[in-house]
Amino acid sequence: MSDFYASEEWRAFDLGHPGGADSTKKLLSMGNVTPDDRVLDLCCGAGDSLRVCAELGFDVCGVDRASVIEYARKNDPDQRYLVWELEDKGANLPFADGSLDVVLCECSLSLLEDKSSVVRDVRRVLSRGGRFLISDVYDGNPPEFKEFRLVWWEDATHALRSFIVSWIWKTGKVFPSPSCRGGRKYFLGVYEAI
Amino acid sequence: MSDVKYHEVFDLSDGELYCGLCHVPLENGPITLRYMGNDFPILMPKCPLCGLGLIPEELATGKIFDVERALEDK
Repeated sequence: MSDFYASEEWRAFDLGHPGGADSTKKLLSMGNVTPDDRVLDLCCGAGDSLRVCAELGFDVCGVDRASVIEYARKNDPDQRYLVWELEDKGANLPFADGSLDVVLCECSLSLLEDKSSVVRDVRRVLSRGGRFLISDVYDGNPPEFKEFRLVWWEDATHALRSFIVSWIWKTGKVFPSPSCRGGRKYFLGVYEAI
Repeated sequence: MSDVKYHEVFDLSDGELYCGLCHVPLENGPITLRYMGNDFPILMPKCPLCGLGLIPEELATGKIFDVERALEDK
């Protein structure tokens, strides 16, 4: 994953991800997530979406790299975190097969070097009918995965552009072009495990 | 008391700049730049009579240019 997203500069930026809590709530709503569901926030960052999920009463846990989790635990010690490092041998999420109902992955999948491995492992840890909720950059067509079928999506490019504008005004620096991550547009999508 | 956090503040000395229309000294005043529903307040020289504001060249060719370029990079 790019070092930029592990930098203090990025951590100091308090907007989290494009669309913020509203985007997270939209995904959770369109994914029909209920308090009975076991939810994983994949690449949870500073824990912003964990807080949203917890406030909605969901059973939620976040995973991210060790350095990020160390920061997240200081930032919000009330949430549950696990360290997860993407290794050469595969994603190996620290969960048993079929032990989760929902995996939330916001503005992160495109950053991961071995997306196919991660998507396969997300499918492994999800139960039958489990949902994979994604927000990310895209090129105009939401990504397709053989392990999932897309059941709902919407364009949210306005949220990405608003996010970039806020970044420039708050930091005074140019934001890395989203196109190098696979697209200049942004989408929210709900995928269901096949 | 206002608790506005200004993203940019112009360092204006008394009598440094005058309004070309009203011929009175400019004073630092709030200007709100609005992009896609987000407000970014800045404190810039403004005419106390007609309200015309000055955007310094450095800001126009800096952050404002970067924002415009980012928004056009669809």
